[in-house]
Amino acid sequence: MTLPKVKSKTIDVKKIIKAAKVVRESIKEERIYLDERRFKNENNSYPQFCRLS
Amino acid sequence: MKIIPTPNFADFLKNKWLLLDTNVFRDISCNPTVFTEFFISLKKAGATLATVEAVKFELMKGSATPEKYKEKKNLVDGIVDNVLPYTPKTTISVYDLIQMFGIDGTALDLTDFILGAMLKQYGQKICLMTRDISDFIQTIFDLKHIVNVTHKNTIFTYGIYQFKETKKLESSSDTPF
Repeated sequence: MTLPKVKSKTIDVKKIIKAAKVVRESIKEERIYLDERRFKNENNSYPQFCRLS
Repeated sequence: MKIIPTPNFADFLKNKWLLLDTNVFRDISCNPTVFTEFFISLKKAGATLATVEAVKFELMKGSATPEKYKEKKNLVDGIVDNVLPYTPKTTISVYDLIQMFGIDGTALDLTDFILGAMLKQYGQKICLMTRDISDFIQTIFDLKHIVNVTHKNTIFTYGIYQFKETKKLESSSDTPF
């Protein structure tokens, strides 16, 4: 199969650096969110005193 | 931080498309200057940088604000020359790959299958750069080059993969086409 013909774009370094800063913050935030979610799920066992006998 | 590809990597990429996986964009965000210089040099060598929509979805999900969403999109669009569109053949190739991977496909996510399908579809004209070096097994994909990136306390290794031309699936009778 033939790949589409595309024009090579120039990378705007300043634009990438600006975007990267925000993306980095976002990724950190997402990792914290996932860690907290995992922690909550791992500690979500049914308490002993609530179990039906 | 230094980016150290295997010898003749730039020559290998001449007139080829280099697909970038999600982890590459995540790593670019940590070291934008060095990675940008590297990608500019690859483009000068005649490579076309690309990705697929699935990689954009993976990167952009979880954005807490419209600004974060927008800048993730800007990061991808600012690096790549093109987002390679899916065709009906891409879907067939994903079904083929699922069969080829067998049990090894259990750990793969959909994005990996789509990237793999693009490699299968376009053969020797395209390759993939990924840090998921355990997902693209070498019974199906050829590891053509390695790119090492040195950090203060570690080294990240990226594989440059192409679909093995000799790898053909005997029957695609289980695909719904």
